[in-house]
Amino acid sequence: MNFPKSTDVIIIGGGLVGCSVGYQLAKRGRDVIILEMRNLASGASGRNGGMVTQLDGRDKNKEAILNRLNYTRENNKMLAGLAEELSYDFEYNRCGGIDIACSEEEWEYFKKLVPFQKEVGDEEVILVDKQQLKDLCSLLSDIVWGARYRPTDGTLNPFKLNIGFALAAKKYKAKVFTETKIEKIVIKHGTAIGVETNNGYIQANLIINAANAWAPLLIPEIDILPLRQVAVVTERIPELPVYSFEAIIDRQVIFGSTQQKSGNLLVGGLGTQARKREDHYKEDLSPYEIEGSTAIFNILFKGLGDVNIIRSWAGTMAFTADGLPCIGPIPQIQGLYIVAGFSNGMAFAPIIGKLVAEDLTQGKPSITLKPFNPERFYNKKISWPDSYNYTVLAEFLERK
Amino acid sequence: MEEVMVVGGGPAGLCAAIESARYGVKVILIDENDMPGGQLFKQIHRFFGSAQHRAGIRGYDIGNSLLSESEKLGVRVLLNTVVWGIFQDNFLGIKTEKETKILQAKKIVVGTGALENPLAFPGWTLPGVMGAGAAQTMMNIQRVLPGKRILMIGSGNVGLIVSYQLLQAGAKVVALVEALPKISGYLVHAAKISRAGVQILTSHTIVKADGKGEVKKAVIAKIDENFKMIKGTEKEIKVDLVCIAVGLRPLDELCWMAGCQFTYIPSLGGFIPLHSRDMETTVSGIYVAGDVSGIEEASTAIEEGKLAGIAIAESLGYISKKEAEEKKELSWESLRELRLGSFGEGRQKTKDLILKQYNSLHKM
Repeated sequence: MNFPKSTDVIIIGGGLVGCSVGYQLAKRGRDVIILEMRNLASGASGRNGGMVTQLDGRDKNKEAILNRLNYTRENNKMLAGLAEELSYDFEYNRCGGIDIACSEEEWEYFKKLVPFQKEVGDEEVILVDKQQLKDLCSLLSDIVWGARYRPTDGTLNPFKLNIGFALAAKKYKAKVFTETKIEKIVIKHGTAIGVETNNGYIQANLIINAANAWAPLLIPEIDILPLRQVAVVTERIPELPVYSFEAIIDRQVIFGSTQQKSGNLLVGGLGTQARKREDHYKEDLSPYEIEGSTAIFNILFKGLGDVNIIRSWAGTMAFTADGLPCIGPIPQIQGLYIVAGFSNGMAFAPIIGKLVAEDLTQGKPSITLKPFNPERFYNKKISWPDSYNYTVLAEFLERK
Repeated sequence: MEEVMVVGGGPAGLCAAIESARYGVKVILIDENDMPGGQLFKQIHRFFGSAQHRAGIRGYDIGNSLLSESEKLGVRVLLNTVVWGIFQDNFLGIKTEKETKILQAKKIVVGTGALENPLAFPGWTLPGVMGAGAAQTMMNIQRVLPGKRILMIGSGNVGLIVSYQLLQAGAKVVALVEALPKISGYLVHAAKISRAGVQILTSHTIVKADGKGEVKKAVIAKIDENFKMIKGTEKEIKVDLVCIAVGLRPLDELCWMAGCQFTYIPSLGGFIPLHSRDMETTVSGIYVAGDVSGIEEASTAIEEGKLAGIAIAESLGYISKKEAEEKKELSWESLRELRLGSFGEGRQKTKDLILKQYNSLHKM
């Protein structure tokens, strides 16, 4: 395939968001080119737990809760029919998700938080005590006090979802170029007119930055923070009654899930060392981080001590100052749009792709994208902690 | 911080440990098995070569003498211990039977050896299809005869020697097939099994293994010069074990993880970590020895291990440069001798190539 000189829409980033937006735009008749500096799903899209968690975080803030649930609930509906729409099975499993309290303090907090959630319109969430939790998942150890349980959360195979979107986009004539790094977005008289890449220059009418954690390297006016997480995955284990889950162990936020189709159990987060901003792009990992994440198996579960870990990795997701993504046109510049800043991509990316395409083709998305307006961060300096990890940031946002 | 950690207690690792401990270096040797010695204890045959290379001595005797030497020199041996990673700044992740630990060493020797190549054909996942090395372990270490009627695939030294040992253990080797038009290993081994009545079929391959739940029979056939099966030459043979001896590849994952640079040399088994004459990789402080640095044999692994051990003792200041040079010269000379002749010369050339690539990197 020859490298093109011009197109209608350029999407920067071949991750889940870029491919989701690319698919929806191509389906609506736009000429789309997706440019990816590495390979599809090389960033956070291929390095996460595949968890579909509709409400991450434990904040007690009505507006913030609804700003997430309004989209993630629609996303869940969409996921149900998406495999058929894409003609691609991405192993979606609505197995349920649990946010586990591992201390009395957390449990007491949950007892207030869950009624609050219900009051503001989150009817699905269920408070389960220790016994009920163990009935749900008999593998859990005695560290648990109870959980917030959401039966409609689940897991999926993030690689397959990413690739499913890319293949479907190609069916609508979208082109995907991997190993194509954007050196620069070219702006002339206040209008974005094209991109310089390592493979040459492409002119475009519209440029969409969907590079998530890498987005601020091209548009520094919007402060999106890279956030490195680590994970380890076990060999296949048969019939594991595990859900997508989150917990706090030793004051650190941990996460995990199981790809039920293959039976591998994935966990991460414990022992992730705080690093400076530029170090959050590094995908190497220290033995202490592997040791930390591996320890989760013995802390949170019973009887998994002899299960082998077969892979470990680090990946970089994005974080914003209010935990919500940035979606919309960049102020002051024509033809430049951003869809980045996701820290919970599986629960957002499919629906967001649809809404963005509606916004860009019909001028009006079926659900407003206002809460994500990038203007809220435009040229605002945020005093992020100098050295951080997920836990430090969650405390920074008081969303742990 | 530890001084030296040696990963793998085969001939290469043992000799690296012994040689550095000899000069006072504190060494920890790690092996995932319940006994060090690597493949040596499976090798019940006598070694070839000159007296200096322990010719005429059987592998397990060499193993025993290396073990007692390492013990005398105070090498600390951790058995049933897996090294699960090498990280920046020479950190190692290890898992013992009881716990997971992270250690740091001034120098690391990777002597992890090799892995048998698989061969895929219909029925290759049936119980009763196994690597020749695995069959040798069952037979010579665990004292279990893995089959009674055997089809051996591959006429390299492993295929020939294991065939002979299977015969000695009372099994019948029904046939040995070799895809190439001639026998790959030493003819002296081939002659031995021929005399014992094993038919060696060159330009032949396995078509499939068959059986309900386990191997009951296999089909072999003749192949042409393009390795395509010649129709009509299929022959069914009754066997209960298919042994695969189609070469080895370096067990090099730890070197990849450590960030070592590699080169690709098919005749040495594939990707090989570049290394200096002292067996040091492109990552300073990480050494390789034995099959992981290119598939050869136990006698070369021993010399490479010694080289790494001497070089480590030298760089840690336990012996002078002059003394080290003298000792290393002996091993280099030994390796030159071991790499002579029709089987060795090719290896000498490829080893020289590795050195050239390593040196060109280090001149930059």
